[in-house]
Amino acid sequence: MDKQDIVKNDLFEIDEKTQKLVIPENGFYEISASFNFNPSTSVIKFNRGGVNFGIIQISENNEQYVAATRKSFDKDNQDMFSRIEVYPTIVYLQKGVVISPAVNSGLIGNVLLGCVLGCEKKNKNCTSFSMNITLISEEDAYQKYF
Amino acid sequence: MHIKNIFNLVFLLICVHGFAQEPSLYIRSLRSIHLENMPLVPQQIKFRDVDMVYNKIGQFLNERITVSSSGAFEVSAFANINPGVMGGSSKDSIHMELYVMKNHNQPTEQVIGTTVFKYSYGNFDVAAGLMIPPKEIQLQQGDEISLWVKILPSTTIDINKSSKYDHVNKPTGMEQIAGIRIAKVL
Repeated sequence: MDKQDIVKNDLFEIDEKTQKLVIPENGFYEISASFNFNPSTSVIKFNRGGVNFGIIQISENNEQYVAATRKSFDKDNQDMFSRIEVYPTIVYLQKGVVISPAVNSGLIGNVLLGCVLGCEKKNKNCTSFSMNITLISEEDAYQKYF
Repeated sequence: MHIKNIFNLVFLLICVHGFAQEPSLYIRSLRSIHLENMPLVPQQIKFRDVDMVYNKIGQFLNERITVSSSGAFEVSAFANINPGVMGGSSKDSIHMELYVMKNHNQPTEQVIGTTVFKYSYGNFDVAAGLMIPPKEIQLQQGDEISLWVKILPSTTIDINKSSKYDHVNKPTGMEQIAGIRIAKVL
């Protein structure tokens, strides 16, 4: 992603050297995201086609989804764009963790060689990916996973 | 995974400083949950005290979420469900409904939001995220919110009937398997 893709930012410190989005303080954050994805394949057919979409947190010993969903593709949608929404999810994040959007194969029978995060060429007003993260509370908490 | 042609990217990063208590609630389960092979029978997805992530609008007692004030609220929910069987025919399918209820088994009972997913083409052992999009609704003080799943009668084969198998489960890499968010509309 490029810095010019940022529409609004009051949260992260971003300058010309910034390459990661680093959580600035401990707190509860609300995260949502939207992906427009096409597996671009004809091989799922009657096989398994589960793909995970979401936002991950990355720290020294940990890399995991904090807001995510599983999309199951089959014969009907294996070669078309689908809109995958991650609806608002509240998580507790520690200062210093890096957050990032992520896509990974979940349970899938065949390798996806040409999948696309993007839009149909004729759809000019389409957003291929968006993410929103809001600090909703600065109070202290501890959660095992998030 | 090769990703190309990323365009029209919108990266929306918002931080709202100045208030410490966003009036919302988020509860989720990290534990897998077993479903019974009983078409049409509502099965509740139950949460525990440890599942409450954030709660500024209600009470959670005896596995029940109740809102503490009246007003407009936005409610959404999800569950990752894997029927856990491989079908023998591409004509078979399993249809699951996930829905959020207000005041279950009371005179004011109401379905707030619902979603249906069809597992098809003999491929029933892949988890799918069933999502109920945010929906705005008026709630009264004391209203109770709960999450339910139902196997629809159009289903043509059984789900995995092993008592050891949990159908609401954890797809690769994701800890959260089911959740509810309620946010007060300000």
